[in-house]
Amino acid sequence: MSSHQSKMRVENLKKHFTANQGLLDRLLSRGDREVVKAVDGVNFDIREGESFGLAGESGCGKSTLGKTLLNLHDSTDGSIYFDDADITTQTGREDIAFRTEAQLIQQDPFNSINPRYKVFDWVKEPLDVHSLGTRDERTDLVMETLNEVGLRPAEAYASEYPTELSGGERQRVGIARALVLNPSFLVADEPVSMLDVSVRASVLELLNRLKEERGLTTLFISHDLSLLKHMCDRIAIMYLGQIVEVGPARQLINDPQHPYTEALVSSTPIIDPDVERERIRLEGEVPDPINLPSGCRFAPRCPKVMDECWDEEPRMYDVAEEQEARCILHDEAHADKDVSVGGAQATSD
Amino acid sequence: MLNIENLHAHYHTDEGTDVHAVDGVDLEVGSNETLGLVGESGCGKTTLAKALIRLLPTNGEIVDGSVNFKETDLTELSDEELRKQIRWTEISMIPQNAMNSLDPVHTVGAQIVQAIRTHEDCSKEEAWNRTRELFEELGLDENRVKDYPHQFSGGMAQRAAIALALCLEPALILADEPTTALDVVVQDQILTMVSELQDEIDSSMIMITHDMSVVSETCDKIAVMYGGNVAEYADSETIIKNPRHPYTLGMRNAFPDISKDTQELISIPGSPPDLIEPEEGCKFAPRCPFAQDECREVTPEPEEFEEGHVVRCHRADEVEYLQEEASKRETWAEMKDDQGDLISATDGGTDE
Amino acid sequence: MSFSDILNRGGSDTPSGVGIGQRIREAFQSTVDLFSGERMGQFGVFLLITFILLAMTAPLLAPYNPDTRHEAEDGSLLRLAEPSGDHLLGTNHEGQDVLSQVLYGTQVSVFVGLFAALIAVFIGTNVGLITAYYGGLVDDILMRLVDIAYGLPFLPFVIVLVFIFGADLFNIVLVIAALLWRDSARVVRAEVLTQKERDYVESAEAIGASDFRILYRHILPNVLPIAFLYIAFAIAYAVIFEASIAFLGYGDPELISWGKMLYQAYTFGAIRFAWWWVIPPGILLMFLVSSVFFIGRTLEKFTNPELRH
Repeated sequence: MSSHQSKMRVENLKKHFTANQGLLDRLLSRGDREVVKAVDGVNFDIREGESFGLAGESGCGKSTLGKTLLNLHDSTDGSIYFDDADITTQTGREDIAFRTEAQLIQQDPFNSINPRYKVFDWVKEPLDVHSLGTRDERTDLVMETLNEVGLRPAEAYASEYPTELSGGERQRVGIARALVLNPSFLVADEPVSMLDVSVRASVLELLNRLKEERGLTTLFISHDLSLLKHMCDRIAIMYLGQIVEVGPARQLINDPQHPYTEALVSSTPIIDPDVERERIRLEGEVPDPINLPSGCRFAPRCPKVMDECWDEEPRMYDVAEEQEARCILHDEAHADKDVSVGGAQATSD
Repeated sequence: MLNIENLHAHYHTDEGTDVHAVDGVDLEVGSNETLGLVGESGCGKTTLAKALIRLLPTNGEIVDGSVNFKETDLTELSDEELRKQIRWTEISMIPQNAMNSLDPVHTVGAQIVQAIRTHEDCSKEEAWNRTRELFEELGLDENRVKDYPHQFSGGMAQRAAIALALCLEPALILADEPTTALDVVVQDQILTMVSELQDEIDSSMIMITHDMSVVSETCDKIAVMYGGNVAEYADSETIIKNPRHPYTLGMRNAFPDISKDTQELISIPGSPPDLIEPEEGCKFAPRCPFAQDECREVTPEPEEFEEGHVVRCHRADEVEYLQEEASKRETWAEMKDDQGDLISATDGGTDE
Repeated sequence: MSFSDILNRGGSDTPSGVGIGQRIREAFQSTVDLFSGERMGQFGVFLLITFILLAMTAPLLAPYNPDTRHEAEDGSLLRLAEPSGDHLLGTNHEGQDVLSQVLYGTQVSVFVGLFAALIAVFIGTNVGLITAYYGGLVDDILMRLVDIAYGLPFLPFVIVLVFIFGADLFNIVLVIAALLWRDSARVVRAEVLTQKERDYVESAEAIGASDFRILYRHILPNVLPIAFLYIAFAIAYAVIFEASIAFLGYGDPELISWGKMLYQAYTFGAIRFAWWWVIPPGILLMFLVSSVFFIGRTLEKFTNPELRH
């Protein structure tokens, strides 16, 4: 691991939300505060130039985590090191510098562009905000970027309003806006989930090409494991605000070591009719991140739950090369038990 | 059991033009068979389903064709007959967004009981018992029959909507993207349960989705729709493993498969046609790397190859060549160069 | 790569700017372009300009001094005379010429209506933007202020303020604005609350846009249509409020306004038969309000591209 340069390192990151209260409650600071622990003690390391996938069911905190990493939410606790500087303590100038280095690609191509902006103005705005370049230079850069993301001829697209564009084109506009500041780090939050299948692949191609050409580091947030498997170098699986497993993409999908990852993988339908999947039934649905169970958070739904699971929150165990899982099945105390939870997913090439 | 012949459904626009959303569809659904309708948004799959039970919006109209369901042509029935005899009792719909289909002011159980008792002669008690049974079969806690829809999570609401759709044991179920809004774990549970229930009450199903992997696993037959037509129709294994239509081949390339370790995702250039007063010629031709002059000039007719494998493509007989070439990235990439720009969005999808 | 060149220069450059005059000319030209082909908008602009011209030229156009009490041939006051060659729109209960009164009244109504409405909506829009965007304590305090504004009893409020500041027209405009800002504040706040949840706001935050920029460059254009609509409403209310104030005797006693005319006709019980006294100010009031509304509709199309198709 040490041979890799770290781009973003997260230590014990927490983001808690308190439920809304009325004026009186706030003034008198009374009433029970309901705390939603959306992100609750997350550690990971995204390496320079890699695509890091973040997966989990809706409500697991993956989007909140992505936004906290971009400083769009103030973190409750913990540190985020970006190029070895802690951005959670940054203010003013340093924060502005971070804003040009790290950018966001959003999910919804229809909602994420201000309907009152033309494509040109939308893509140019980051340059205006940071007062970069002269007017002509800004124009050139915007046109160059529109070309780069495949909106050609750029001149024709520049004067369009977003309502006149298709979903795929809008998503490219969003990517152009993120790129125009020449960032080194992107958070792509479900960037293709709202696009049609045939268009989806072309946007993914574009993201892959940008990664190669610009050496971008990307955090790729998605619920779709098939997609992450093909797009990412490594994947982390989130459950109720915590990372339960992290590892190299293919290895993690083909041989999951946490019962939750295993269940996710086994629930994903397979196109190839020759491949049978072993189905693992999970009990219930993801609980609210308000009243968390003591011990392992996954225990109430886990098909392999043991008495010890309820005692204390498990730590991350090294389970394979570069792969870690938060499950006491991997503790030495259980070495005799069936640790190889993997193999749920038959593979074929 | 269901036989759709040459169905045309149009939407009238304010400008006086017609959108040919369903443009000559022939399909069959056998009893206890599941047909998957796959396609991108705007391909006409939802319009087709709505046309079947004549639930098109007011600017929509069936202009031609017939829908034969158990020897009755549904396009000939009066609205009254359709409502009393067909909808819900014989053909019911599982909606995409369950919360919208459940009435927020009545308990979920009461809605199901009411549906049963409106259409069938049975006692209150019996109806409640059947409701409880349905709840259990769909993996819902039977003690929650007296809950209101807002007390349910998304997954539970979807199950309740399914219970509501299946409570009268219809002969045909129309499922419009029934699990798109759900997470994979819940999706898997629900799809499994729907299949089991479908077997139990011995009904057929049309599953509408954009997800190739879902249809591959749950459907017996697949119809791939493009531009208001069925581009290709066959049993699922044939569609997945041995497709003949370039669009199906393209979709396969674009869809990531979790069971594969190395897969290059290849997109189809361009965007879907807008279907306003379409011209003669294959609708996929502008995006097709194999298009020839004939394709642009003559609309291909459906042609049956092997038993039950119907393809709408002039070049479908060159199957080996198509499959070979379509798996290469260059095939689709060169296509883009011909058009002069990468995504050639001006060909369609915009108002130009 | 030109990216890094530009980035390295940082913010020291001022963009090679075009002169402010040129910008204004461009903006004006684009507004003119906008109204071409928009019948409704053109009509609105035409009406508004007519009203402003009427207000400015009232002393020239009016056949008589509006305060003059005309007498009949027998020396009695010419009360409630029907329209005739001498008095095109007849006279009122005090024998004053209605046409002259209407023309002079235009001055007060246009001035009070436009200014009070603009001030009220300006305040309301800003309050709405700020409370909704920042939320928390700011929201609590400002919205309680709105509640108080809603709770203000119209009459005592006017009496107290006019007593303190004196009954001149500008004070009346301020008093009316102080009563009207609450509506637009509430509506704009509600709209901003939905707008700020939209992803484009998050996108603006992600590129490091300032709060000011997000509020005024991103959210404001999306709530402007509603603000315009409330300007139209506010003009109507302002004209009516001005009339009520005038009627109660707290207005500027020297001035004639449409509202004052209507109130006089109403209290005199002439509303049902003296049509020449009631209809002219009524119709003009209606046209003034609708001209603003038509302009608002057209501007809405400009700010909202979704309406263009």
